[in-house]
Amino acid sequence: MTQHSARQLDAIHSMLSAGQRNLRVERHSLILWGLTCGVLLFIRDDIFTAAQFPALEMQALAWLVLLTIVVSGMSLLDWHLTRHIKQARNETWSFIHRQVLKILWLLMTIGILFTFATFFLGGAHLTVSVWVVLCGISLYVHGLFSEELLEWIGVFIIAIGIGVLALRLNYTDIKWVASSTLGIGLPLLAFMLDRGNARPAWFRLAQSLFWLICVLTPPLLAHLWKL
Amino acid sequence: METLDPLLHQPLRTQLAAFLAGAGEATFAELKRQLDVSDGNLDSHLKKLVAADYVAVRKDDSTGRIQTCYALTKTGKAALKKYVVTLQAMLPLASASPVKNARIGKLQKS
Repeated sequence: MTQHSARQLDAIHSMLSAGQRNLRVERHSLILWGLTCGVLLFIRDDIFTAAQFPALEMQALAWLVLLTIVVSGMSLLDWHLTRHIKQARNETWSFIHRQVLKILWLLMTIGILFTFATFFLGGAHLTVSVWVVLCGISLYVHGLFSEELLEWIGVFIIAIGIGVLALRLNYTDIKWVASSTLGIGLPLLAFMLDRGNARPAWFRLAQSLFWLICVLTPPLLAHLWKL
Repeated sequence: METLDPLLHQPLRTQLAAFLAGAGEATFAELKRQLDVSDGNLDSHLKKLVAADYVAVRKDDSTGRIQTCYALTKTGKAALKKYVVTLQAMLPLASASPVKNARIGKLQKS
């Protein structure tokens, strides 16, 4: 009887845990946001340049408009795709999940405003790092209500964002690291998710290290080959 | 010694009640995927819980498509809480896990 009671309590504990962490991040969200951020970071030196906009105010305004359109467009697309998928799967879209998306939009808005401000305050190195850190925070917050792997990768992305500043990398290297972290890292993460199955910490650490190697290899090669 | 609630003392119904206690609300499809059971099996157990007023049914049409959502009622939460307390009373003190007790403790507070 004691063993049976223990098994029943284990089952209750397990299902309570599954119920409390039943948010699912959709693959398309990671792919959309990852590719958008990765491409924007990579091409940022080639569009809306000082040569095209001699007046700093106009250049800042052009970037503000571009980022607002792209980020709000992605937000709307992500929202509609998520709603469509939830309906197709006959799933509820919980209040917490909606709140988490709002946190993501909040962080993106902060990023846009920060980028705009740096035209007047300087700090291109800082801009890239802040974007990476913000993405890391949003993944970590999402992971708090969802899959453990999101939390792990969120922490790694935050560490990368801070690390590139701490290591005093040059701007080209920072750009490669940031583009790779988001452009490759988030789509890769989309295919590593396992619906929140319970895994030991060493397994999550191994997954995170594998992800880190995949993400840091392209910038390392670019540095070695002087790209 | 207190007897265990016969309605909850069935593995699938225990899991159903515990999942709903954690999630708050879930659709039939979500419950089916989470518990990995057939439609008929899940439906029959849900009907028993609904008949006992342990689970409430709500039709949601806010997304343009009618979804059936299930949630634990106050009676259901109280029954699950009592069931957990009774189970814990059957365990020797040494076998209790502090982490699990904390999680289950939250259920009892709620």
